[in-house]
Amino acid sequence: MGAAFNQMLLASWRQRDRDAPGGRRLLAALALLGLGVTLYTATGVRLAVLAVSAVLALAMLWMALVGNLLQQNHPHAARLVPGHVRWLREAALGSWMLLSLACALLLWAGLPRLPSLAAALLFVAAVLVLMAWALRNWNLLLLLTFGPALFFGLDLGKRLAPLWSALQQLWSAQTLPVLALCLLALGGLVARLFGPGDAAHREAHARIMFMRRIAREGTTGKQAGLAAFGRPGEWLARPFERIASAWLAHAIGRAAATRRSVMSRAEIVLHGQQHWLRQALGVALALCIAALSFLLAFAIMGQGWQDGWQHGALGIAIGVASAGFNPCLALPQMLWHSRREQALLRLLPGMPQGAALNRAVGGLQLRHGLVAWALTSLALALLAWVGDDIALMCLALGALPLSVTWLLRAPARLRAPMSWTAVLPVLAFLAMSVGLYLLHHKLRLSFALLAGASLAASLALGLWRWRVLAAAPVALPAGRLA
Amino acid sequence: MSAHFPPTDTPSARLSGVSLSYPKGGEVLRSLDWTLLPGQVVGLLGRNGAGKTTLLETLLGLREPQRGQVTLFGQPAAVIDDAARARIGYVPQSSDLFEAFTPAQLLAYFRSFYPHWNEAKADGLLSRWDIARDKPIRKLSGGQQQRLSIIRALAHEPDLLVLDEPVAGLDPVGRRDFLRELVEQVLDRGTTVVFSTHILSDLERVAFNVAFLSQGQIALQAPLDELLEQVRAFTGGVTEMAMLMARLGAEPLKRTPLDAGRERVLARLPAGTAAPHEAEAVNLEDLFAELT
Repeated sequence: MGAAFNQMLLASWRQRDRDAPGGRRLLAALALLGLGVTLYTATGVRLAVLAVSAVLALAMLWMALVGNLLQQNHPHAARLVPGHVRWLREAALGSWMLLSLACALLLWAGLPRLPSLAAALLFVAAVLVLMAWALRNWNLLLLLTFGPALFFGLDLGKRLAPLWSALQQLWSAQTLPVLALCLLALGGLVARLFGPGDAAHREAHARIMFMRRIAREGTTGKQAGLAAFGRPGEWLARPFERIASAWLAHAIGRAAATRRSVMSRAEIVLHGQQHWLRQALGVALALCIAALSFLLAFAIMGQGWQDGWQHGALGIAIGVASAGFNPCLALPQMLWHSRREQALLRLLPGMPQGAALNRAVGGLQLRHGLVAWALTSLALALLAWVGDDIALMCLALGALPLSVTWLLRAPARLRAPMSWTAVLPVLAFLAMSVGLYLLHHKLRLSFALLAGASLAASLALGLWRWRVLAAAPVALPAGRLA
Repeated sequence: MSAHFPPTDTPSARLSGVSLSYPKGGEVLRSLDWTLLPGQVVGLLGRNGAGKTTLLETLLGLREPQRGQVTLFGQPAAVIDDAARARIGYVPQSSDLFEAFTPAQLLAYFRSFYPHWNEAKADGLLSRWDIARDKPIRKLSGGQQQRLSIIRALAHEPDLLVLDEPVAGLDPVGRRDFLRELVEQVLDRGTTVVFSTHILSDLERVAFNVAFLSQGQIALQAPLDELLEQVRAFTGGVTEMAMLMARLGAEPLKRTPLDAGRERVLARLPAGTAAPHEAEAVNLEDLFAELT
């Protein structure tokens, strides 16, 4: 039995992603660096920072463990392997109790303002259960996302004050029995995470696996599209699909034996869900939702427009820059995902060959990136003007050299995208932008100088990458030489 | 009219001394020589992982060998012109492609690239094979996706048709329909066909030639009828076998050592030579097991 526990608990470690360990080490090093910087600067709260960091690490460990245990809870195994579900439940319960206690002790030791160890334990145990259930049922994440807004929006703090007060009294009077009862209920919820192999379990397991696949593909640049989320997704995606179909029909209807026409049609397949039209529609929708949210927020808070813009300009600018620049950084990954279709594209009459194909693919990506950069920079310039802060343009200046370099990588040598390959360019973009901002603010370097340097660097990097790309092996199918 | 009419001596595809390795793997193709003549129908056989897909991709210029030359219709495969590309049809192993398109959109998309497209044939096959035109490809079954892939490859009436495990996802009726279409294509147009498969009974029905891929090389290629008629298995002492091979003028294809100084020899007899009565007849499955 002990051996079975070991096998189950070690599975998440054994099944870890072993590809590209360098990227993960880099991310871990960045996290440690961030922790080091925080400890160095926040001298008064070192213990609290250490405690919270350790709790976060343990919470991540819990997510990895319980995620893997849920994966092991396959309906077939649950039905056919004797004792499988019981062992899974016991392994999860043991881990939950141990990690809850460790987290509560750490918080209690690191944060002196906490009311009591018992309260910390109950809070941590409940959060860990919620996290585990969110892995099984993603709708709970919506609760986490919109819960605070609903709480404050409906003024639940005031309305539920009598209930809250009664619960506090009960807690003060009967702390240990209440704690025991709550932990027992939470333990029951942990045990109920695992299904016995019946029809409901099969359905839930299929849903978990589907969402996991979507999430995994999403982190590597392949967007599933709303249509992948069943009928509601299809209904929501219908207008987008109609526009994309109209564009496809337009491209086919105007087909000619010119390179421009051929590449325009090829682009639809090469970039798939990241095609410029789909990206533009997605960004437009996001901007509309964001604008509506701001409108509502301003209306509810009764704040002046000018005041709101000036206070929120940085946040809005980061949002706009992320929406504008990040999708372009996913284009190389999308090339990797469409590599099997590319074998057929390569054999089509009219498709450029050799170095001409490399230039054509590089040109597509560069044009896409530069247009997105120009439009996003325009929006950032508007924000900088309204918010009277030219430093916001550092986001645009940081993105340009990075986009040029990233988009002109040799497709034939692209490696299978990992989650870190999606994160890395975004981190680099933020680091570049923050670096430029610090140069402008701390070293008082003029904005014109920084803009000149960014443009010059982009030009130099672009020319270098363009030459390398032209001399590289034939671009398509992507990733075949990695 | 296809360039196969009037008949030409230029091979549809030729690989000479081709060697190919993957960056982090061993050598997949080793000084491989292979020629596909116009109108030939060749079934490519090999064990799992033998390199059949790599060979077919290299033949089409989709992979660059480290050594050797590959030509398609007499042109270097890496830079074939548009006219040559219009003469090639390819069905890759994976059929779950272009998932965002509908079948109608997929065929319209490909039609926009080709100078010649047999609309009636594509429409007829879509109807006959019961493929919904406006249903997203991701919602089609694996077999339907495979059939659609075949229709796409046949619609521009290629002179060279390369199919990588085309029947793997099809049920027996689907396989029969596909094979019928393939035979029509060959008889009507003299198309050169090369396809890899593990389903030997299908291969026996349509492949006039079989090629065995083993250890990165084409170990043997010959008309299937000839092979079944000429290849025999012999068992006996090593010396006795050597003498027998010499006397018959037979070409040993594979020797398998047995106990007590005996061996089993798979050998190809010269055309017209009567097989000795102690020789054991072999079928395609035996040949597959012995030669791959």
